[in-house]
Amino acid sequence: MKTQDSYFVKFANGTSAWLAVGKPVPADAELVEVRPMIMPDDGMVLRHKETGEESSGHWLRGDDNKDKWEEVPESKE
Amino acid sequence: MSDKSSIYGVNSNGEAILRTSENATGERTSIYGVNSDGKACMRVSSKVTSNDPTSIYGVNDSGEACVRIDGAGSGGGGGATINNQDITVTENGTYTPDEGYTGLGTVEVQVPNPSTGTLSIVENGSYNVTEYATAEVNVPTGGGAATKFGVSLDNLLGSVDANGVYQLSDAPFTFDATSIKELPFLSPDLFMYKFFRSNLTGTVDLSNYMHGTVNAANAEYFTQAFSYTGVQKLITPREKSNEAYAMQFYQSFQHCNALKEIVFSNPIIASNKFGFTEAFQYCDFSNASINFDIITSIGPNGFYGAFKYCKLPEEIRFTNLTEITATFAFREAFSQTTGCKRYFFPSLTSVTSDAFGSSTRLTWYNAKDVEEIHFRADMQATIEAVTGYSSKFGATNCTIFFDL
Repeated sequence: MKTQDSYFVKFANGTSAWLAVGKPVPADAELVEVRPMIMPDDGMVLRHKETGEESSGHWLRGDDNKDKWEEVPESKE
Repeated sequence: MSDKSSIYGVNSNGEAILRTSENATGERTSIYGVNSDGKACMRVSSKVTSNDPTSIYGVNDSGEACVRIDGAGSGGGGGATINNQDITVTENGTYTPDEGYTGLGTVEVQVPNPSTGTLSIVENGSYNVTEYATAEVNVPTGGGAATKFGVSLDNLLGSVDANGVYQLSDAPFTFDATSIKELPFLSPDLFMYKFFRSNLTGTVDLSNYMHGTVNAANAEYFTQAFSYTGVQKLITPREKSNEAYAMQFYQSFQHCNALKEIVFSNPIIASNKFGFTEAFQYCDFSNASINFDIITSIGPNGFYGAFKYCKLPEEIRFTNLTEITATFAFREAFSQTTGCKRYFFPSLTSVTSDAFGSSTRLTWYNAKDVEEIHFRADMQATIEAVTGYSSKFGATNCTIFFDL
C-alpha cells in the first residue's frame, strides 16, 4: 500500500479538476487542495477493516486514515 | 233512388264512372264504380254502426255482389277472411303459410351472411371460425417457437425437443427483425434465451419491437439471445421502450466480436429488471460506432456492467444524458475496460448517490486507460457527494474535470 498526493485545482476560467495521482498542477491552474490517496499494490485491493468496503484507490478525507484499510488479494471473477 | 243521395264522379265525356250513395237512414254508405253502361261493377260499402267490418264487393252484370272481402264472412258469396302467419326465416328456401293461414304476414329474415375467406391458424388456441368458409391450420410441430415473429424462421431456428432443449439449425442466416413487435417464447419467463448461434450475421433491427406481454414482470426477453453470434449492427427498440419491462437485454450481445455499430433508438433506457445489464461484455468496440447522443435518462440497471471487459473507442460522450437517478443505472458500466481515455457528461445534472455503484463495483473500476472524466462545472458538489467519488468511481488514475 502506498500513499500519493493528488491535487484539486481551479482554472482561470472558473472550472476545476481533481487531478490524477502524480499529475502536477498546470501552469494556468490554482492549487485548491491536496488530496492524499492510498493505493494498493498490484494484484491487491484495499479493504476497509470495519465496513468491508473494497477499493482500488481511496481519497483520505475527514477522520479517515490509511490505518483503517488493509490490502487483500484482488478477487478473480 | 229517391231515398238516396248520390254524388257522381264523371269522366271527361260527362259519363259517370263513380257514384256514392247512402240510404235514408244513413245505415250504409256505398261507393260504386260504374261501367260504360252505367252499371255498378264495384261497390265499397260499410255500416255506420260499429262492429260491422268494411266490405269491398265485386258486382256482376246483374248488380249482385259476386266477390266480397270483409271480416265477418256474411253476405254475398265468395267472402274471404285474411289471417296471415308471421314467420322468422333462418335458412335459405321456399316458405308457405301453415294450414289455417290465408298467407304470410311479417317475414323476418335472419340468414347469416355467407362465410367467405380462409382463416390461417399457426398457433394452438381457440378461434372463432364462423365468418370463414375454411380454416387452414398449420401449427409447427416439435415445439418450434418462431411463430410470433410475423416472419418465418422455422427452418432457421430448429425446434425444441421434449425436454425443452433447443436444437438449433446450423444453416447460416441473417436475422431480419424489423417486423418484430413481440417475441416467441420458450417458457413464460425466458423469451429468447440463447436463441441464436454464431451463424447469425448482419443487422439486428429491433426498432419496432415493443415488448412481450406474457408474465412481463419476470420475463427475460433477450437473455443471451444473440451472444456469441456474428451480429454486426444493433438498432435498439424504439416503441414503448420507456415502459418498465421493455428493455431486457441481459447478456444479450456478449462476445459479439463483429458488432461494430450500436444505434440507440430511445432516449430512455428504462427497466425494472435488467435493461442492458452485462449486455455487451467482452465485445471489441475499439473501432466501433456507438452513439449515445439520443439517451437522456438511464433507469435502474440500465447500463449495469453493460460494457464491462470491452475494448472501447478512445472517447465516449453522453451528450444529452441529463439524469442517472436510478439504482445501479451505471454500476460497473465500463468496469475493466480498455481503450477509452475520455468520458464526457455535458448535460448531466441529476444523479443518485449510488448511480456509479459502490466499493469495487464502480462504473470505471479497473478501467486502467481512463485519463479524463468530464462533468459540468456546476456539478462539482453533486458529484463529490456520490458514492465512489473518493476512488474516482474506480478510475483512480484519472483526472476528474468539472469544466463543461
